[in-house]
Amino acid sequence: MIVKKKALVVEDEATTAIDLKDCLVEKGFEVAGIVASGEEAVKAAGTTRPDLILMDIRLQGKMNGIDAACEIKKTCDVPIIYVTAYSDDLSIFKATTSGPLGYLLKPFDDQELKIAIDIAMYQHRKEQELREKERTIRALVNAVPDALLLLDDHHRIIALNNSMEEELGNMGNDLVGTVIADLYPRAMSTLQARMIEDVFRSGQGVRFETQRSEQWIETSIHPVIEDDDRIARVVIQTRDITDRKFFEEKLKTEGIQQIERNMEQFQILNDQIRNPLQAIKGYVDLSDTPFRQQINEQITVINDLVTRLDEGWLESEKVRRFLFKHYLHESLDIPGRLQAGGCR
Amino acid sequence: MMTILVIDDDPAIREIFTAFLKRHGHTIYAAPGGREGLELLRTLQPDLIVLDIMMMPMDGWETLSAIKRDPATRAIPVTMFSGKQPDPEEICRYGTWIEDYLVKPLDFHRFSDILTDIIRRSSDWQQEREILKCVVPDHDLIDEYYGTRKIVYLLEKFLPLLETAPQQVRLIIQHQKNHISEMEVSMNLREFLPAGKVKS
Repeated sequence: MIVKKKALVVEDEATTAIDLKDCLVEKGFEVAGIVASGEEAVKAAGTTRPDLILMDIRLQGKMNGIDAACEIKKTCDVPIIYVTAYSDDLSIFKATTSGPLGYLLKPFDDQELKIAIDIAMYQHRKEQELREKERTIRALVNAVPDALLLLDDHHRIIALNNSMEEELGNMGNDLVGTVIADLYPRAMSTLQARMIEDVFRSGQGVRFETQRSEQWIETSIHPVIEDDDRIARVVIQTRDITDRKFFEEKLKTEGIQQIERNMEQFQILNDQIRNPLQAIKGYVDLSDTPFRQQINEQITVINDLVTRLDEGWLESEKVRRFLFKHYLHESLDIPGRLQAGGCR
Repeated sequence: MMTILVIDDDPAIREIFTAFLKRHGHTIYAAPGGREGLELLRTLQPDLIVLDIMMMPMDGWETLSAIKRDPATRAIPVTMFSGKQPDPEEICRYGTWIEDYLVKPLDFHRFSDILTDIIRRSSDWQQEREILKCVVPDHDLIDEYYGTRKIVYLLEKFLPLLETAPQQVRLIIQHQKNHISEMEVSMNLREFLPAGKVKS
């Protein structure tokens, strides 16, 4: 069974009320109630949860239709069509924030009412869809740990997610409309402003890393291409990469340390190779073999190979670091590269 | 002719060492390890000790430390003799205690000459030191001066291997040489020693 949509009629003139009811029934609505005052309308809306309200503006009781609509909107998301005999009323409701989706000026015919109902229902459905879409987008942008920001071409904030609000240290304040450079420390904003300008001009995204005290931040600026191929907005995405940096550095250091351990092993091995070489050389020199020269040449070949391993060791980072630490005093005038090596 | 003590755990090295140097008329004592070598030194005063490094259980550096800490053996010149290249850390730590560092394999026909040179150089420096001690009151400075000269000698001998960093090594050696010059100035060395003897 198809569940009929429910409508509430708020009208203190009986004949108009009946006309409205007939028309609603014809449109396939179930009329959940007809009430004559604003107070009753608020109550009925709470109990019947209508899908549509037709609301007269001048009513019995203290509350008029506009006040009642405002009250109902606080608890119910329902399209409301105003019905009135006085065109003056229209200027009043246009100025209100109760969000009417349509109005009808009495007298009206069925056709006009039906069109007003269709438009109101359609608009309401579209608004709901839009709000739903917005909720989806907000849920998505807030689910990522990265801080996100949408900027216009004057570097003003259009939208931002919770992580970005937190990062800007401005939770709770509405930052939309603020110029981004006003929120960052000066040095950062100069760099950022230049980068943002580059992205607007070139249409190419950029990515860069910056360090603030112990923290490493990766910033990406993505252009948003509009329907007319212009770039009027950019997305700024920042991410804390301190952990990644730490592990990268650790991996690098460990790699070097492993190589140096291997080289130390070679050093010990080299000693063990050279001892028998020394012995062979000695025995050959002591004997009167006709191949003395050839054997000595072969010994030289082996020794040269072993020496190449020695060179690797002596050129290693560990040995160099030791040299710098041990010998290079601050007073010594040395090129920057060396000094950097010494500070490590 | 000289008396030489070789300490090496490889029996073949000890055998050849002894065979060659005896041919040149030297008196050779051989020990298979650090402890045995120190034991021999209780009764022996060789002109030179030739010391292997990688030995078990007492390695060459430990043996060297024991020799140099004992006043009875401290003055005996020592040269290391190893299949392993010295690294700069070893040169800095032990350089002042050793006269030279020889890397295996060496041509034994030249060995007698090499060892004779080491003993002569050691003896020359020892004489200089004695002269200096009469005129320079700061004996620690004299020790530091000769220690630094030995370290520079060893660095210059081994560090040209650092092909990718010759500039860096040159700077380091230059720095050490400057230090030597400063010490010479503060000891007024050029006045007391014969010309040509003092070189930095």
